[in-house]
Amino acid sequence: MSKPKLQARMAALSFSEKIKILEKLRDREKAIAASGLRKAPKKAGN
Amino acid sequence: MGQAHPVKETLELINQMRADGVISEYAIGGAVGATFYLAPAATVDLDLFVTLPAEGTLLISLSPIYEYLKSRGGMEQDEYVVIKEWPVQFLTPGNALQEEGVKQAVSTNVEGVPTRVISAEHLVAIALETGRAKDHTRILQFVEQDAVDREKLKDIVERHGLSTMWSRFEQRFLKGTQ
Repeated sequence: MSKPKLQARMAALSFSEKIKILEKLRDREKAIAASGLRKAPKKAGN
Repeated sequence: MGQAHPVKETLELINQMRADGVISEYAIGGAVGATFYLAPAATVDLDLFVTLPAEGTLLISLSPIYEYLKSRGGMEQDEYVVIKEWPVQFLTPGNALQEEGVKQAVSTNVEGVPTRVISAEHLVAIALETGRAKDHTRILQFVEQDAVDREKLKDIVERHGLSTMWSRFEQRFLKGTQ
């Protein structure tokens, strides 16, 4: 499925369904952060 | 064990707070508000625009909100109150555009819990006014996903003195796409 079609399909979901997806995305973000897998961004040099 | 529904439970608490007279009205803004119109995109917080019963006085304080929520399990953390593990940021409308956004918010529900969301056109206008890179990205998502009524947006932009900003935005990001 093309990206625009997928986006349209996702956008057409009910707000309740979208909120469930947001909650899952957030849980995943938290799990990744807790695992330490994500590297801290390097500080830009001056 | 039942599934947790933190946003639904948070909205139930916010609705109770309104029923108890701590706030007059509220509307969801930010990324969660945008999700009402767009494909869902990851976000870490919930932005709520709130109007307070005592508005009209010179000093606007969010303390009654914080106290109410803390007494019901919320935790104050920087500019947020964490409710059901979701950081919620309370914003009082800072200008006529944001006030109008709250007044004209769209009624909906999350799993049967009634709530209100800032309209797509007001979200875009507020993002335009705020003007950070992530706000510009959000505006582009609204335009690309055809989720904003361009005539309504034009009216809002003109009435709130954002025409020049919108022209610049169009010139920079939308040139050749219309």
